[in-house]
Amino acid sequence: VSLISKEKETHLGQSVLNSDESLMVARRESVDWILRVIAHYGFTVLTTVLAVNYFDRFISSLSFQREKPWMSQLVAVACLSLAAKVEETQVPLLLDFQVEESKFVFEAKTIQRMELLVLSTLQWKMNPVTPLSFVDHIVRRFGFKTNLHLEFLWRC
Amino acid sequence: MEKLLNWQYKLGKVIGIGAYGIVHRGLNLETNQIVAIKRFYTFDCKNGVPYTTIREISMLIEMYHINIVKLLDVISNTKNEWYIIFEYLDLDLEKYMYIMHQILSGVMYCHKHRIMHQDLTPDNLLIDLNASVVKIADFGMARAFDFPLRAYSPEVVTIWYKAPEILLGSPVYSTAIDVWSVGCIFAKMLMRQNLFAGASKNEHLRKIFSIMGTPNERTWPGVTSLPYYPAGLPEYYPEVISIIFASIFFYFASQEMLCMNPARRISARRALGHAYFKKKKRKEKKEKKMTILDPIEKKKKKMMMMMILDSVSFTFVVVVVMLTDY
Repeated sequence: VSLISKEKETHLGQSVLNSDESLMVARRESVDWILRVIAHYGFTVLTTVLAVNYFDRFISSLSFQREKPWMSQLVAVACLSLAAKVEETQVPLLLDFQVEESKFVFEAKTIQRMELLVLSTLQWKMNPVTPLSFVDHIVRRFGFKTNLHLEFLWRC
Repeated sequence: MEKLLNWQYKLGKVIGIGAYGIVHRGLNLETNQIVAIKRFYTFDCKNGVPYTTIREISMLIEMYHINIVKLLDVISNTKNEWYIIFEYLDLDLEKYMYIMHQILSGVMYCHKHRIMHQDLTPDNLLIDLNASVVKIADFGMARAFDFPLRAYSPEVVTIWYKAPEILLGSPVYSTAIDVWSVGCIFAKMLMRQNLFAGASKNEHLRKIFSIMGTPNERTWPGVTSLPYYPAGLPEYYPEVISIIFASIFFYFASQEMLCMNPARRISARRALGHAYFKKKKRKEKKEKKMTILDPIEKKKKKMMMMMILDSVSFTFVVVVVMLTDY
């Protein structure tokens, strides 16, 4: 029950994003790019979920200036690096995130400033309840003796 | 007090220097509350905001428990320097002997909120001397455990409080590592020295084995196939820990909290339910019942209970002092 109530705090209804056509196009592009970079570095599925969660929460906030075409790319880089730092053990440098045909390339300083903007906009809540939290919770209830389920999760 | 910070806080003298920042004493000018202010070192541009900062703040911002250090604010000034404001606490652990319950409650709270601290050491436990409350701090190494971690980063947890499964290179680890650290801290509190203190990883492991006995397939299935399981170790038998600890409580601590096999190690929740703590709880429950039945007697009974609890902890401290002096 606490998982469900906690999920609501950081979960967005689809309607907020769907209502704006141009925003949806920008989002699709950025998410595609995020997925490519994650495949490139072999990050876990949770990193993916986190990065997209941060991205969605940020673009639906007031801090997001949609007029600038490079904005969504910068936000995507910042969200991805934040997610990697929260979840991964090996994190590339800021500049090295900009692979896989990144449309714009930003200086590390710029990305860092965006990281801070994202962090304060999301009120530093970087551990949202994700669908994976529920999977983990339910699997624990089965009480497997071996680590089979862990191996399964790693391959997700 | 010299520097003014963001109109709201005054920056005072330095009270601690960590690997990731400097901690100042400070004053909230609006509420006159004394606070601790952690200043980040200037960020290294190549990496952006350090992951320890992100983890520490994001963990603490969602935790509210009496035994966890409270994060009051995150602020930046015009020069884009960032500060975290904490409640101010006195930093001393060794004087207090009956704080295990509080430490365990804090750890259990973290685990319940799917957070592993991963770096529990005496330095990271703060005490409010006035209220005798212990708080867990420094969540720079903490992580949420929705997902099992594959690769293990060996810097996690100061080596003396590291659980054997980490030292042996187990690919999976869990909240049990925090319980091991708590067990080591309890032992240190009693003995005024570290129970296991090896200079290197291997020496440390040998020390653990020489006291707790060398683990084998029977006591810990799968242990011999862990990557760093040292070959050709002498077969140590567990020492009679009760002689070292000579106290029922610490016997329990060593047997269950310092159990080598993480799967058999007691959880923070179960440790709290242990007989030692149950006595305390029963008293509290009794007290509650009484207050419901007899609200007028409430204060009297409460005072009596406090006296009993005090005398219990007093005798405990006496035993401890006697032990450490012989």
